[in-house]
Amino acid sequence: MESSNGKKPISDPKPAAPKADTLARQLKDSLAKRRPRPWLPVLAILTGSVLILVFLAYWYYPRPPLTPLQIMALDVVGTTDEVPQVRAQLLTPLEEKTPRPLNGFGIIFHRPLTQKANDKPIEIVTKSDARGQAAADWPKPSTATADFSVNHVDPANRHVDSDLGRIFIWPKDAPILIVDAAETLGAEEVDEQASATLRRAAKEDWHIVYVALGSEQPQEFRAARIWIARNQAKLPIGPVLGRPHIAEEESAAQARRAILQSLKERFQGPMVAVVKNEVSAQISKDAGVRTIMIGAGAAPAGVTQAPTWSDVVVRVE
Amino acid sequence: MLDEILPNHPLDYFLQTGAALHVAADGQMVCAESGRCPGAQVLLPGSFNPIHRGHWELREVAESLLGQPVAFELSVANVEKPKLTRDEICRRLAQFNWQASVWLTHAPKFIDKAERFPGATFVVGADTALRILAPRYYGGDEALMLAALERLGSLHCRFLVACREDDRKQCLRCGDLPIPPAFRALFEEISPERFRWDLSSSELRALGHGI
Repeated sequence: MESSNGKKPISDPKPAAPKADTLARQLKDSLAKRRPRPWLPVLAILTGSVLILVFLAYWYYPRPPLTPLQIMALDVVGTTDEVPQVRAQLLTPLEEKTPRPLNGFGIIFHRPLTQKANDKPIEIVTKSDARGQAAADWPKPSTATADFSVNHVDPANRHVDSDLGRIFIWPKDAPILIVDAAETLGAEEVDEQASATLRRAAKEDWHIVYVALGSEQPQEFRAARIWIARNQAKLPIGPVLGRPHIAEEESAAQARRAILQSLKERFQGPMVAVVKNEVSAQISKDAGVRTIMIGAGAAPAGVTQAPTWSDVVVRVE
Repeated sequence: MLDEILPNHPLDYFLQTGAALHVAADGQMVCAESGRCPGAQVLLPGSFNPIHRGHWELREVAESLLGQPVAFELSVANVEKPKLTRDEICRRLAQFNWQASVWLTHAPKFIDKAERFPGATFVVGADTALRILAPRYYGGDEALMLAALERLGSLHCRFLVACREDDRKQCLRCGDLPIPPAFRALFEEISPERFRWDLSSSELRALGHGI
Protein backbone atom coordinates (compact mmCIF):
# COMPACT_ATOMS: atom_id res chain seq x y z
CA MET A 1 0.00 0.00 0.00
CA GLU A 2 1.31 3.43 -0.91
CA SER A 3 0.58 6.83 0.61
CA SER A 4 -1.02 9.62 -1.25
CA ASN A 5 2.41 11.14 -2.03
CA GLY A 6 3.57 7.79 -3.51
CA LYS A 7 6.07 6.90 -0.71
CA LYS A 8 6.04 3.74 1.41
CA PRO A 9 5.01 4.21 5.10
CA ILE A 10 7.85 4.17 7.74
CA SER A 11 6.35 1.49 10.05
CA ASP A 12 5.89 -2.21 9.22
CA PRO A 13 2.58 -3.03 7.96
CA LYS A 14 0.15 -4.32 10.64
CA PRO A 15 -0.14 -8.13 10.48
CA ALA A 16 -3.36 -9.48 9.39
CA ALA A 17 -5.96 -9.67 12.26
CA PRO A 18 -6.41 -13.46 12.32
CA LYS A 19 -2.66 -13.99 12.89
CA ALA A 20 -2.62 -11.59 15.89
CA ASP A 21 -5.55 -13.40 17.46
CA THR A 22 -3.74 -16.72 17.13
CA LEU A 23 -0.63 -15.28 18.76
CA ALA A 24 -2.65 -13.81 21.62
CA ARG A 25 -4.37 -17.13 22.21
CA GLN A 26 -1.04 -18.96 22.16
CA LEU A 27 0.42 -16.52 24.66
CA LYS A 28 -2.59 -16.85 26.96
CA ASP A 29 -2.45 -20.66 26.83
CA SER A 30 1.24 -20.65 27.52
CA LEU A 31 0.82 -18.34 30.54
CA ALA A 32 -2.01 -20.45 31.90
CA LYS A 33 0.21 -23.54 31.69
CA ARG A 34 3.27 -21.96 33.28
CA ARG A 35 1.60 -20.09 36.22
CA PRO A 36 -0.34 -22.37 38.63
CA ARG A 37 -3.52 -20.95 40.11
CA PRO A 38 -2.26 -19.15 43.32
CA TRP A 39 -5.43 -18.96 45.50
CA LEU A 40 -5.12 -22.47 46.98
CA PRO A 41 -1.64 -22.16 48.59
CA VAL A 42 -2.37 -18.58 49.61
CA LEU A 43 -5.51 -19.73 51.37
CA ALA A 44 -3.59 -22.55 53.07
CA ILE A 45 -0.86 -20.15 54.24
CA LEU A 46 -3.46 -17.69 55.51
CA THR A 47 -5.36 -20.39 57.42
CA GLY A 48 -2.12 -21.71 58.92
CA SER A 49 -1.04 -18.24 60.02
CA VAL A 50 -4.41 -17.51 61.60
CA LEU A 51 -4.31 -20.84 63.45
CA ILE A 52 -0.79 -20.10 64.73
CA LEU A 53 -1.89 -16.64 65.86
CA VAL A 54 -4.95 -18.05 67.62
CA PHE A 55 -2.79 -20.66 69.34
CA LEU A 56 -0.25 -18.04 70.44
CA ALA A 57 -3.00 -15.76 71.72
CA TYR A 58 -4.53 -18.68 73.65
CA TRP A 59 -1.13 -19.67 75.04
CA TYR A 60 -0.09 -16.21 76.17
CA TYR A 61 -3.51 -14.88 77.23
CA PRO A 62 -3.38 -14.36 81.01
CA ARG A 63 -5.81 -16.90 82.39
CA PRO A 64 -7.31 -16.50 85.88
CA PRO A 65 -5.26 -18.61 88.29
CA LEU A 66 -6.81 -21.88 89.41
CA THR A 67 -8.14 -21.87 92.94
CA PRO A 68 -5.45 -23.59 94.97
CA LEU A 69 -6.01 -27.13 96.15
CA GLN A 70 -6.41 -27.69 99.86
CA ILE A 71 -4.85 -30.34 102.00
CA MET A 72 -6.74 -32.52 104.45
CA ALA A 73 -4.99 -34.70 107.01
CA LEU A 74 -6.74 -38.00 107.60
CA ASP A 75 -7.03 -39.54 111.05
CA VAL A 76 -5.06 -42.73 111.60
CA VAL A 77 -5.92 -45.74 113.76
CA GLY A 78 -3.25 -48.29 114.42
CA THR A 79 -2.29 -51.06 116.82
CA THR A 80 0.67 -50.97 119.14
CA ASP A 81 2.37 -53.52 116.83
CA GLU A 82 2.17 -51.33 113.77
CA VAL A 83 4.21 -48.45 112.42
CA PRO A 84 1.54 -45.78 111.94
CA GLN A 85 1.14 -44.45 108.46
CA VAL A 86 -0.01 -40.85 108.26
CA ARG A 87 -2.12 -39.91 105.26
CA ALA A 88 -3.34 -36.78 103.60
CA GLN A 89 -5.62 -35.93 100.72
CA LEU A 90 -5.61 -32.97 98.34
CA LEU A 91 -9.03 -31.48 97.74
CA THR A 92 -10.22 -29.63 94.67
CA PRO A 93 -12.46 -26.64 95.34
CA LEU A 94 -16.12 -27.55 95.69
CA GLU A 95 -17.19 -25.36 92.75
CA GLU A 96 -14.71 -27.00 90.37
CA LYS A 97 -16.45 -29.53 88.16
CA THR A 98 -13.64 -30.50 85.78
CA PRO A 99 -11.11 -32.83 87.35
CA ARG A 100 -7.49 -31.67 87.29
CA PRO A 101 -4.28 -33.61 87.83
CA LEU A 102 -3.61 -34.10 91.51
CA ASN A 103 -0.27 -35.86 91.31
CA GLY A 104 3.15 -34.42 91.97
CA PHE A 105 2.30 -31.75 94.53
CA GLY A 106 4.72 -31.25 97.41
CA ILE A 107 3.29 -32.64 100.65
CA ILE A 108 5.18 -32.27 103.92
CA PHE A 109 4.27 -34.22 107.04
CA HIS A 110 5.65 -32.83 110.28
CA ARG A 111 4.98 -32.45 113.96
CA PRO A 112 2.36 -29.80 114.67
CA LEU A 113 3.39 -26.29 115.71
CA THR A 114 2.20 -27.06 119.20
CA GLN A 115 4.68 -29.88 119.74
CA LYS A 116 6.38 -30.07 123.07
CA ALA A 117 9.75 -28.38 123.28
CA ASN A 118 11.59 -31.67 123.96
CA ASP A 119 9.97 -33.52 121.02
CA LYS A 120 12.37 -34.29 118.20
CA PRO A 121 11.29 -32.40 115.08
CA ILE A 122 10.00 -34.60 112.27
CA GLU A 123 9.67 -33.55 108.65
CA ILE A 124 8.82 -36.00 105.87
CA VAL A 125 8.68 -34.55 102.38
CA THR A 126 6.69 -36.48 99.81
CA LYS A 127 4.58 -35.97 96.69
CA SER A 128 0.91 -36.60 96.02
CA ASP A 129 -0.15 -39.52 93.81
CA ALA A 130 -2.72 -39.50 91.02
CA ARG A 131 -5.54 -39.66 93.58
CA GLY A 132 -4.12 -36.61 95.34
CA GLN A 133 -3.11 -38.73 98.31
CA ALA A 134 0.18 -38.91 100.14
CA ALA A 135 1.25 -41.22 102.93
CA ALA A 136 4.33 -41.68 105.06
CA ASP A 137 5.48 -43.90 107.91
CA TRP A 138 5.41 -41.97 111.15
CA PRO A 139 7.38 -42.68 114.32
CA LYS A 140 5.21 -44.39 116.89
CA PRO A 141 3.99 -41.73 119.34
CA SER A 142 4.67 -42.18 123.02
CA THR A 143 1.03 -41.50 123.88
CA ALA A 144 -2.17 -43.22 122.72
CA THR A 145 -3.23 -40.10 120.85
CA ALA A 146 -0.99 -37.66 119.01
CA ASP A 147 -1.45 -34.94 116.43
CA PHE A 148 0.46 -34.62 113.19
CA SER A 149 0.48 -31.80 110.72
CA VAL A 150 0.64 -31.81 106.94
CA ASN A 151 1.48 -28.93 104.60
CA HIS A 152 0.77 -28.49 100.94
CA VAL A 153 3.03 -26.14 99.03
CA ASP A 154 1.90 -24.84 95.64
CA PRO A 155 4.58 -22.45 94.34
CA ALA A 156 2.73 -21.75 91.07
CA ASN A 157 -0.20 -20.29 92.98
CA ARG A 158 1.96 -18.96 95.82
CA HIS A 159 -0.18 -20.95 98.20
CA VAL A 160 0.67 -22.86 101.35
CA ASP A 161 -1.87 -24.50 103.60
CA SER A 162 -1.80 -27.09 106.34
CA ASP A 163 -4.05 -29.35 108.33
CA LEU A 164 -3.97 -31.33 111.55
CA GLY A 165 -4.65 -35.03 111.80
CA ARG A 166 -4.70 -37.40 114.73
CA ILE A 167 -3.00 -40.72 115.32
CA PHE A 168 -4.69 -43.22 117.63
CA ILE A 169 -2.59 -46.13 118.79
CA TRP A 170 -4.64 -48.78 120.56
CA PRO A 171 -3.87 -52.28 121.86
CA LYS A 172 -4.64 -55.08 119.42
CA ASP A 173 -7.37 -56.42 121.69
CA ALA A 174 -8.98 -53.02 122.40
CA PRO A 175 -12.79 -53.08 122.37
CA ILE A 176 -13.94 -50.86 119.52
CA LEU A 177 -17.26 -49.07 119.12
CA ILE A 178 -17.89 -47.88 115.56
CA VAL A 179 -20.44 -45.08 115.41
CA ASP A 180 -21.97 -43.89 112.18
CA ALA A 181 -21.77 -40.19 112.96
CA ALA A 182 -23.68 -39.05 109.89
CA GLU A 183 -26.61 -41.35 110.57
CA THR A 184 -26.92 -41.47 114.31
CA LEU A 185 -25.56 -38.44 116.14
CA GLY A 186 -28.01 -35.72 115.09
CA ALA A 187 -27.89 -32.90 112.59
CA GLU A 188 -27.45 -29.66 114.55
CA GLU A 189 -27.08 -30.56 118.20
CA VAL A 190 -25.60 -33.77 119.51
CA ASP A 191 -28.26 -36.27 120.55
CA GLU A 192 -28.07 -36.13 124.36
CA GLN A 193 -28.83 -39.82 124.69
CA ALA A 194 -26.06 -40.62 122.23
CA SER A 195 -23.70 -38.44 124.19
CA ALA A 196 -24.55 -40.20 127.48
CA THR A 197 -24.22 -43.68 125.96
CA LEU A 198 -20.92 -42.91 124.25
CA ARG A 199 -19.38 -41.29 127.32
CA ARG A 200 -20.39 -44.29 129.41
CA ALA A 201 -18.88 -46.65 126.82
CA ALA A 202 -15.64 -44.64 126.78
CA LYS A 203 -15.45 -44.88 130.57
CA GLU A 204 -15.79 -48.64 130.22
CA ASP A 205 -12.72 -48.56 127.95
CA TRP A 206 -14.46 -48.81 124.59
CA HIS A 207 -12.47 -47.04 121.90
CA ILE A 208 -14.76 -44.94 119.76
CA VAL A 209 -14.35 -44.72 115.98
CA TYR A 210 -16.60 -42.23 114.17
CA VAL A 211 -17.54 -43.01 110.59
CA ALA A 212 -18.74 -40.18 108.33
CA LEU A 213 -19.63 -41.53 104.91
CA GLY A 214 -22.80 -39.57 104.28
CA SER A 215 -21.40 -37.23 101.70
CA GLU A 216 -19.40 -37.69 98.53
CA GLN A 217 -17.93 -34.22 99.00
CA PRO A 218 -14.74 -34.16 101.06
CA GLN A 219 -15.59 -30.65 102.26
CA GLU A 220 -18.69 -32.08 103.91
CA PHE A 221 -16.60 -34.79 105.52
CA ARG A 222 -14.41 -32.01 106.92
CA ALA A 223 -17.51 -30.25 108.23
CA ALA A 224 -18.56 -33.48 109.98
CA ARG A 225 -15.10 -33.81 111.49
CA ILE A 226 -15.17 -30.22 112.73
CA TRP A 227 -18.65 -30.78 114.15
CA ILE A 228 -17.41 -33.79 116.13
CA ALA A 229 -14.33 -31.87 117.28
CA ARG A 230 -16.40 -28.90 118.40
CA ASN A 231 -18.65 -31.19 120.41
CA GLN A 232 -15.82 -32.90 122.21
CA ALA A 233 -17.36 -32.02 125.55
CA LYS A 234 -20.27 -34.30 124.59
CA LEU A 235 -18.54 -36.85 122.40
CA PRO A 236 -15.54 -38.92 123.48
CA ILE A 237 -12.40 -38.41 121.47
CA GLY A 238 -11.89 -40.80 118.56
CA PRO A 239 -10.75 -40.93 114.95
CA VAL A 240 -13.18 -39.72 112.31
CA LEU A 241 -12.95 -41.96 109.25
CA GLY A 242 -14.34 -41.06 105.84
CA ARG A 243 -14.17 -42.56 102.38
CA PRO A 244 -10.71 -44.03 101.88
CA HIS A 245 -10.45 -42.72 98.30
CA ILE A 246 -12.14 -39.38 98.22
CA ALA A 247 -11.12 -38.42 94.69
CA GLU A 248 -12.74 -41.50 93.21
CA GLU A 249 -16.33 -42.50 92.81
CA GLU A 250 -16.75 -44.87 95.67
CA SER A 251 -20.11 -45.65 97.20
CA ALA A 252 -20.75 -45.28 100.91
CA ALA A 253 -21.32 -49.04 101.05
CA GLN A 254 -17.90 -49.79 99.49
CA ALA A 255 -16.23 -47.34 101.84
CA ARG A 256 -17.97 -48.86 104.87
CA ARG A 257 -16.85 -52.36 103.86
CA ALA A 258 -13.26 -51.14 103.41
CA ILE A 259 -13.17 -49.43 106.83
CA LEU A 260 -14.72 -52.40 108.66
CA GLN A 261 -12.43 -54.86 106.91
CA SER A 262 -9.37 -52.83 107.81
CA LEU A 263 -10.42 -52.61 111.48
CA LYS A 264 -11.30 -56.32 111.63
CA GLU A 265 -7.94 -57.28 110.15
CA ARG A 266 -5.99 -55.24 112.66
CA PHE A 267 -7.94 -55.47 115.90
CA GLN A 268 -8.92 -58.70 117.58
CA GLY A 269 -10.98 -57.41 120.49
CA PRO A 270 -14.78 -57.07 120.63
CA MET A 271 -16.23 -54.76 118.00
CA VAL A 272 -19.68 -53.16 117.94
CA ALA A 273 -21.16 -50.93 115.24
CA VAL A 274 -24.07 -48.53 115.78
CA VAL A 275 -25.92 -47.56 112.61
CA LYS A 276 -29.32 -46.24 111.66
CA ASN A 277 -30.29 -47.79 108.33
CA GLU A 278 -30.79 -51.32 107.13
CA VAL A 279 -28.15 -51.28 104.40
CA SER A 280 -25.46 -50.07 106.79
CA ALA A 281 -26.62 -52.66 109.34
CA GLN A 282 -26.40 -55.48 106.79
CA ILE A 283 -22.88 -54.45 105.70
CA SER A 284 -21.65 -54.24 109.30
CA LYS A 285 -23.16 -57.59 110.15
CA ASP A 286 -21.70 -59.20 107.02
CA ALA A 287 -18.29 -57.83 108.02
CA GLY A 288 -18.57 -59.86 111.22
CA VAL A 289 -19.20 -56.89 113.52
CA ARG A 290 -21.91 -57.06 116.17
CA THR A 291 -24.38 -54.46 114.94
CA ILE A 292 -26.98 -52.35 116.71
CA MET A 293 -29.49 -50.53 114.57
CA ILE A 294 -31.16 -47.48 116.06
CA GLY A 295 -34.68 -46.51 115.02
CA ALA A 296 -37.94 -48.12 114.01
CA GLY A 297 -36.85 -49.58 110.64
CA ALA A 298 -36.81 -53.35 110.19
CA ALA A 299 -33.41 -54.58 111.29
CA PRO A 300 -31.85 -57.37 109.20
CA ALA A 301 -31.63 -60.79 110.82
CA GLY A 302 -28.84 -61.00 113.35
CA VAL A 303 -28.82 -57.22 114.00
CA THR A 304 -29.89 -55.92 117.41
CA GLN A 305 -32.57 -53.28 117.26
CA ALA A 306 -32.62 -50.30 119.66
CA PRO A 307 -35.39 -47.69 119.38
CA THR A 308 -33.17 -44.87 120.66
CA TRP A 309 -29.59 -44.30 121.80
CA SER A 310 -30.61 -44.78 125.43
CA ASP A 311 -31.60 -48.36 124.52
CA VAL A 312 -28.15 -49.08 123.14
CA VAL A 313 -26.26 -51.41 125.41
CA VAL A 314 -22.63 -51.70 124.47
CA ARG A 315 -21.16 -54.77 126.06
CA VAL A 316 -18.73 -57.53 125.32
CA GLU A 317 -20.52 -60.64 124.09
CA MET B 1 13.19 -20.38 92.45
CA LEU B 2 9.72 -19.91 93.90
CA ASP B 3 10.31 -22.96 96.05
CA GLU B 4 13.09 -21.08 97.77
CA ILE B 5 10.96 -18.01 98.40
CA LEU B 6 7.73 -19.66 99.47
CA PRO B 7 7.83 -20.79 103.08
CA ASN B 8 6.78 -24.33 103.80
CA HIS B 9 4.29 -23.47 106.49
CA PRO B 10 1.26 -21.19 106.22
CA LEU B 11 2.16 -19.58 109.54
CA ASP B 12 5.54 -18.51 108.16
CA TYR B 13 3.86 -17.28 105.00
CA PHE B 14 1.48 -15.28 107.19
CA LEU B 15 4.37 -13.80 109.17
CA GLN B 16 6.23 -12.83 105.98
CA THR B 17 3.28 -11.19 104.28
CA GLY B 18 0.36 -9.00 105.22
CA ALA B 19 -2.00 -11.92 104.72
CA ALA B 20 -4.53 -13.19 107.23
CA LEU B 21 -4.40 -16.80 108.33
CA HIS B 22 -7.51 -18.85 108.98
CA VAL B 23 -7.09 -21.76 111.35
CA ALA B 24 -10.13 -24.05 111.31
CA ALA B 25 -11.30 -26.00 114.34
CA ASP B 26 -9.69 -29.13 112.92
CA GLY B 27 -6.37 -27.34 112.53
CA GLN B 28 -6.54 -26.59 108.82
CA MET B 29 -4.59 -23.40 108.11
CA VAL B 30 -5.18 -21.39 104.96
CA CYS B 31 -3.64 -18.03 104.19
CA ALA B 32 -5.91 -15.41 102.72
CA GLU B 33 -3.89 -13.16 100.44
CA SER B 34 -3.50 -9.47 101.16
CA GLY B 35 -6.78 -7.71 100.72
CA ARG B 36 -10.22 -8.48 101.97
CA CYS B 37 -11.67 -11.67 103.36
CA PRO B 38 -15.05 -12.12 101.77
CA GLY B 39 -18.22 -13.07 103.56
CA ALA B 40 -19.83 -11.42 106.53
CA GLN B 41 -17.94 -12.88 109.43
CA VAL B 42 -18.64 -12.76 113.11
CA LEU B 43 -15.39 -12.28 114.95
CA LEU B 44 -14.51 -12.28 118.61
CA PRO B 45 -11.20 -10.44 118.83
CA GLY B 46 -8.83 -10.82 121.75
CA SER B 47 -5.31 -11.56 122.87
CA PHE B 48 -6.35 -14.91 124.43
CA ASN B 49 -3.54 -14.93 126.92
CA PRO B 50 -5.05 -17.22 128.07
CA ILE B 51 -8.43 -18.00 126.58
CA HIS B 52 -10.93 -18.41 129.42
CA ARG B 53 -14.48 -19.49 130.15
CA GLY B 54 -15.72 -15.94 129.48
CA HIS B 55 -14.49 -16.12 125.86
CA TRP B 56 -16.10 -19.51 125.28
CA GLU B 57 -19.41 -18.42 126.83
CA LEU B 58 -19.43 -15.13 124.95
CA ARG B 59 -18.88 -17.01 121.71
CA GLU B 60 -21.76 -19.36 122.50
CA VAL B 61 -24.13 -16.48 123.33
CA ALA B 62 -23.14 -14.55 120.19
CA GLU B 63 -23.64 -17.65 118.05
CA SER B 64 -27.11 -18.20 119.42
CA LEU B 65 -28.03 -14.50 119.04
CA LEU B 66 -26.74 -14.13 115.49
CA GLY B 67 -27.43 -17.65 114.32
CA GLN B 68 -24.05 -18.03 112.67
CA PRO B 69 -20.65 -19.36 113.73
CA VAL B 70 -18.27 -17.05 115.56
CA ALA B 71 -14.54 -17.23 114.91
CA PHE B 72 -11.93 -15.86 117.28
CA GLU B 73 -9.53 -13.21 115.95
CA LEU B 74 -6.03 -12.80 117.25
CA SER B 75 -3.87 -9.95 115.98
CA VAL B 76 -0.15 -10.61 116.19
CA ALA B 77 0.45 -6.87 116.15
CA ASN B 78 -0.69 -4.79 119.09
CA VAL B 79 -1.04 -1.05 119.52
CA GLU B 80 0.50 -0.97 122.97
CA LYS B 81 2.63 -4.12 123.09
CA PRO B 82 5.39 -5.66 120.94
CA LYS B 83 4.51 -8.02 118.11
CA LEU B 84 3.94 -11.64 119.18
CA THR B 85 6.78 -14.05 118.52
CA ARG B 86 6.26 -17.20 116.47
CA ASP B 87 6.49 -19.38 119.59
CA GLU B 88 3.99 -17.23 121.42
CA ILE B 89 1.59 -17.38 118.46
CA CYS B 90 1.87 -21.19 118.45
CA ARG B 91 1.21 -21.33 122.17
CA ARG B 92 -1.90 -19.19 121.87
CA LEU B 93 -3.18 -21.06 118.80
CA ALA B 94 -2.80 -24.39 120.58
CA GLN B 95 -5.61 -23.36 122.93
CA PHE B 96 -8.10 -23.55 120.05
CA ASN B 97 -7.04 -26.90 118.57
CA TRP B 98 -10.03 -29.11 117.82
CA GLN B 99 -12.38 -26.57 119.40
CA ALA B 100 -12.77 -23.37 117.42
CA SER B 101 -11.67 -21.52 114.35
CA VAL B 102 -9.35 -18.54 114.63
CA TRP B 103 -8.33 -15.76 112.28
CA LEU B 104 -4.76 -14.66 112.77
CA THR B 105 -4.23 -11.10 111.52
CA HIS B 106 -1.82 -8.19 111.48
CA ALA B 107 -4.69 -5.85 112.37
CA PRO B 108 -4.20 -4.22 115.76
CA LYS B 109 -6.95 -1.59 115.39
CA PHE B 110 -10.61 -2.16 114.65
CA ILE B 111 -10.35 0.01 111.58
CA ASP B 112 -7.64 -2.39 110.27
CA LYS B 113 -9.82 -5.38 111.14
CA ALA B 114 -12.78 -3.79 109.36
CA GLU B 115 -10.71 -3.18 106.21
CA ARG B 116 -9.74 -6.84 106.27
CA PHE B 117 -13.24 -8.13 107.11
CA PRO B 118 -15.79 -5.76 105.59
CA GLY B 119 -19.30 -6.55 106.75
CA ALA B 120 -18.06 -8.23 109.91
CA THR B 121 -19.74 -8.15 113.27
CA PHE B 122 -17.22 -7.82 116.09
CA VAL B 123 -18.19 -9.30 119.45
CA VAL B 124 -16.53 -7.16 122.12
CA GLY B 125 -16.75 -6.30 125.79
CA ALA B 126 -18.05 -2.84 126.73
CA ASP B 127 -14.52 -1.88 127.88
CA THR B 128 -13.20 -2.51 124.37
CA ALA B 129 -16.11 -0.59 122.85
CA LEU B 130 -15.23 2.29 125.15
CA ARG B 131 -11.68 2.31 123.74
CA ILE B 132 -13.05 2.40 120.19
CA LEU B 133 -14.93 5.57 121.18
CA ALA B 134 -12.12 7.23 123.13
CA PRO B 135 -10.39 10.10 121.24
CA ARG B 136 -7.19 9.42 123.20
CA TYR B 137 -6.74 6.27 121.11
CA TYR B 138 -6.77 8.55 118.06
CA GLY B 139 -4.05 10.88 119.32
CA GLY B 140 -6.62 12.95 121.19
CA ASP B 141 -8.29 13.97 117.93
CA GLU B 142 -12.07 13.56 118.09
CA ALA B 143 -12.37 14.18 114.35
CA LEU B 144 -10.17 11.16 113.69
CA MET B 145 -12.35 9.06 115.97
CA LEU B 146 -15.48 10.19 114.10
CA ALA B 147 -13.79 9.50 110.77
CA ALA B 148 -12.92 5.99 111.96
CA LEU B 149 -16.54 5.36 112.97
CA GLU B 150 -17.67 6.71 109.61
CA ARG B 151 -15.31 4.29 107.86
CA LEU B 152 -16.48 1.37 110.01
CA GLY B 153 -20.06 2.20 109.04
CA SER B 154 -19.23 2.46 105.36
CA LEU B 155 -17.59 -0.96 105.57
CA HIS B 156 -20.86 -2.29 107.03
CA CYS B 157 -19.20 -3.42 110.23
CA ARG B 158 -20.94 -3.41 113.59
CA PHE B 159 -20.28 -4.31 117.20
CA LEU B 160 -22.11 -6.70 119.47
CA VAL B 161 -21.28 -5.39 122.92
CA ALA B 162 -21.24 -7.48 126.10
CA CYS B 163 -21.54 -5.87 129.51
CA ARG B 164 -18.29 -5.55 131.50
CA GLU B 165 -17.54 -4.45 135.02
CA ASP B 166 -15.85 -1.05 135.19
CA ASP B 167 -13.36 0.33 137.76
CA ARG B 168 -16.22 1.14 140.16
CA LYS B 169 -17.47 -2.48 139.97
CA GLN B 170 -20.47 -1.28 138.00
CA CYS B 171 -21.71 -3.12 134.96
CA LEU B 172 -20.70 -1.02 131.98
CA ARG B 173 -23.43 -1.40 129.39
CA CYS B 174 -23.79 -0.36 125.79
CA GLY B 175 -26.16 2.43 126.85
CA ASP B 176 -23.43 3.86 129.09
CA LEU B 177 -21.02 4.31 126.21
CA PRO B 178 -20.48 7.80 124.74
CA ILE B 179 -21.62 6.74 121.29
CA PRO B 180 -22.11 9.74 118.95
CA PRO B 181 -25.80 9.69 117.94
CA ALA B 182 -24.97 9.27 114.26
CA PHE B 183 -23.24 5.98 115.00
CA ARG B 184 -25.65 4.36 117.48
CA ALA B 185 -26.64 1.77 114.88
CA LEU B 186 -23.10 0.41 114.85
CA PHE B 187 -23.42 -0.83 118.42
CA GLU B 188 -25.83 -3.45 119.69
CA GLU B 189 -25.98 -4.81 123.21
CA ILE B 190 -25.96 -8.33 124.59
CA SER B 191 -28.12 -7.94 127.68
CA PRO B 192 -26.39 -8.66 131.02
CA GLU B 193 -29.02 -11.35 131.60
CA ARG B 194 -27.70 -13.23 128.56
CA PHE B 195 -24.01 -12.70 129.30
CA ARG B 196 -21.79 -11.11 131.86
CA TRP B 197 -18.17 -11.92 132.57
CA ASP B 198 -16.18 -9.68 134.79
CA LEU B 199 -12.72 -11.21 134.76
CA SER B 200 -10.27 -10.48 131.98
CA SER B 201 -7.34 -12.64 130.88
CA SER B 202 -4.91 -10.27 132.62
CA GLU B 203 -6.88 -10.50 135.86
CA LEU B 204 -6.90 -14.29 135.53
CA ARG B 205 -3.12 -14.26 134.97
CA ALA B 206 -2.75 -12.11 138.07
CA LEU B 207 -4.81 -14.67 139.99
CA GLY B 208 -2.60 -17.44 138.64
CA HIS B 209 -5.39 -19.17 136.73
CA GLY B 210 -5.03 -20.83 133.36
CA ILE B 211 -7.70 -21.70 130.86
